[in-house]
Amino acid sequence: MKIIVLVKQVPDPNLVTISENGHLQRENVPSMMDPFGMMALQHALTLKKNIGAHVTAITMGPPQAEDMMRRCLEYGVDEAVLLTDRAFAGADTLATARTLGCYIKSRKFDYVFCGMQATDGDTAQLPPELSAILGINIYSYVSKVRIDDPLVMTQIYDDNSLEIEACCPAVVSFLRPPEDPIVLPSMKDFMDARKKSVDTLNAWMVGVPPGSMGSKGSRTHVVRIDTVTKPKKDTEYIDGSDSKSAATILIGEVKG
Amino acid sequence: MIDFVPDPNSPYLIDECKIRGNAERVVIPDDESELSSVVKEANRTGTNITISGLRTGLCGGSVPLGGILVSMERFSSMIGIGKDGEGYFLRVQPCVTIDEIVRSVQLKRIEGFSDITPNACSEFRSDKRKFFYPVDPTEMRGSIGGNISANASGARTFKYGPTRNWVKSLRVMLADGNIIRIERGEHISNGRHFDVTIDDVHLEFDIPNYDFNRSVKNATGLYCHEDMDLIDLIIGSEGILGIIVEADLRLTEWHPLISNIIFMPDDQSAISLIDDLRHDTIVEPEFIEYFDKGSVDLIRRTCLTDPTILRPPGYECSAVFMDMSMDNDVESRFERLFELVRKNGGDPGRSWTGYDQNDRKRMFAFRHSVPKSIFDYVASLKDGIPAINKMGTDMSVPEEHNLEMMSFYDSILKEHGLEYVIFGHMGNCHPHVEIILKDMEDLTKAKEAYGILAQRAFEFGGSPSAEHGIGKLKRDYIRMVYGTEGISEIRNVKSAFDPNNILNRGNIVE
Repeated sequence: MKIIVLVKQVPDPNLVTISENGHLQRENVPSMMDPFGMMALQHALTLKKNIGAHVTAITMGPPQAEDMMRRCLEYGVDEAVLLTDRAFAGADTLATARTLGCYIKSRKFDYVFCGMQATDGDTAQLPPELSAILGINIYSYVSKVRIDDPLVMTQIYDDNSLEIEACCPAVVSFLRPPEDPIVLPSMKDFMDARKKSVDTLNAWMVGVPPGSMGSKGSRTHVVRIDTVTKPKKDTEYIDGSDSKSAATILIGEVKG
Repeated sequence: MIDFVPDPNSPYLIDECKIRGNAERVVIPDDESELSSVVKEANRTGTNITISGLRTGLCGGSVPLGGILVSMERFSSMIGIGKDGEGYFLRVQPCVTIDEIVRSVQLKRIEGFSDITPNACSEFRSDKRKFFYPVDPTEMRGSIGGNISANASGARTFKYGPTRNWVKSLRVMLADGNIIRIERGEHISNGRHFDVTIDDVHLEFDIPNYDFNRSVKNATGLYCHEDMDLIDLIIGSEGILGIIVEADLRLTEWHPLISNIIFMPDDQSAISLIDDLRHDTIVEPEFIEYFDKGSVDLIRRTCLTDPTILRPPGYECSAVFMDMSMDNDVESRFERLFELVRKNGGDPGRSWTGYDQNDRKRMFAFRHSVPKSIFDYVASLKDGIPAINKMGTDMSVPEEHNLEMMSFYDSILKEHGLEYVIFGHMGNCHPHVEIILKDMEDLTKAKEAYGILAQRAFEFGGSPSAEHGIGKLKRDYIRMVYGTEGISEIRNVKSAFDPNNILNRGNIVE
């Protein structure tokens, strides 16, 4: 089984403060691996430990993200790939998904594991965008993975859970770590990782079309950040046996 | 200024030792002039003043025995940055927390700070190097004033020494309301006699004839030795000589560290690994902490209900927690560490390692979860929140007696039929033995055992109170260590500073 794990470097949310004009103050704030991406990594490493899955960690980010990718190697991933280029800067979720998708298409894989969202953007848009770009299934909000053929995943929707056979290839977004996660690398893994290196690729090597990446390829731009209170709605289940009528109901919901 | 009569259940009457005191008034001054007026009035009327910081002490130092409780909580400003020949220093008020100090220095968040020396703030901000305040007293929410008054230490004392080593100067309000600035190196005793005039205040007195035990971690009574610095007499004096209103703290250059928690097969192999590591010149540990098997088991229980704590591995083990420098020599440090781990029956694959701040924070949270795990355990036995749950020792011994002392802990506590776990600063031969109190009978037995253990630690040339101080709880140990004569000499020093005995009455001596 080949698993790709998407990780992201974010500023430590416990140390970031918000200035009076609403901007995040990141100066001198140490970076860390996004906790949701970390959960995805832990699930992948658990599968590596239990069934010998081959795990490749990928991120798109600035050159400094190499430290985090090195950390992935220390945790025991087989390969770590950093996609980094000035042309990737300012990417929104769609441009990021296109860049990652462009590279992932060049790889053989069974599953793409990622966090359901990242703590710096909180959009939760990337996993579904990526699944659309790759043209494969998505299993969202996964909390547990049971080893079977195919893997059986538990999805969490508010207070309800759903157990589902996850046919591959598929994107899987996680919202919880495994029950007995690898919490930190061992000293031995740390030393072994020093013999490995992070593969660094630029835009040309990835082959992303120029207009579809970075700020040029973005459809959204951040104007202002506000805190909003979201009204709580109960989860509504739609009968999916007839996909056409289910889609009609969904479109109706979106249009309001 | 706030001034009120406290309710008997007021949080101002209690600290972390959970002994409740009483006070006629609680006063919260806004500034030095208000504090001075309270002190002057108390001095005139002979009223006892107990100084309180953030009440995280473990020996009742801020628990009032009548009179006025003065809370310093509004003295909570970071004042500025200075620089002299020895490097940068931070000027703070006493109720700034250790956590605030650590964050401000680490992130260089010094907006609004004053230049204590010309252009120090801009120089500090633009300095490419990182700095830190190296004392880690475990309780990061404690006040720096309390830390200085108790000469707090912690895991990093192994390399950096206690709080005392990092205090450059103090401004201290005396019992008559006057303030003096004591700069390190400026006021040295002549033998055991002080005759100094500072800011028009004249102080003349003899220090006690005992030599404070500096060969082990020690927080038992007033620090004194021949030709000593006056500032060292104030540090660790638990507020009986004066009230700290401002402190200058030395900072040191930060360097990257890698933390390791090594799971060893049993207690003996873990202790033996620590013995090998203590003076190893290749690994050069920055601190070494120990968890016996019982401590790891308790943490494992607590993890089931608290997912924020790292879950120990499923196999039976003890653990050693140590930091080392992550420099160009890190590979040879690890090679040597692996060699020592294997020599003592361990496996380098059975360990955790981390160097980024977040991972290291989680490892420290694991270290700090032992007391909570004991609380959870006792709560589960009693099916509720226990009023008492443990009694922790705070004894250090010279290295040559460490193993004997460890065996002595075992034999005495077993003899008394007590359940216990051992963890803590084994690098400094200063483990915390946490006696689990399941009922009041255990409390009686634990008190008796504690006295026997403290006596043996003292006989071994150690300290019965290595880092928590004396406060009101451990005064018996002052008598054990210094005798009646020593107590009388401590009282004489107090009289020179506080002739009407108004400040923190009951701390260190009655």
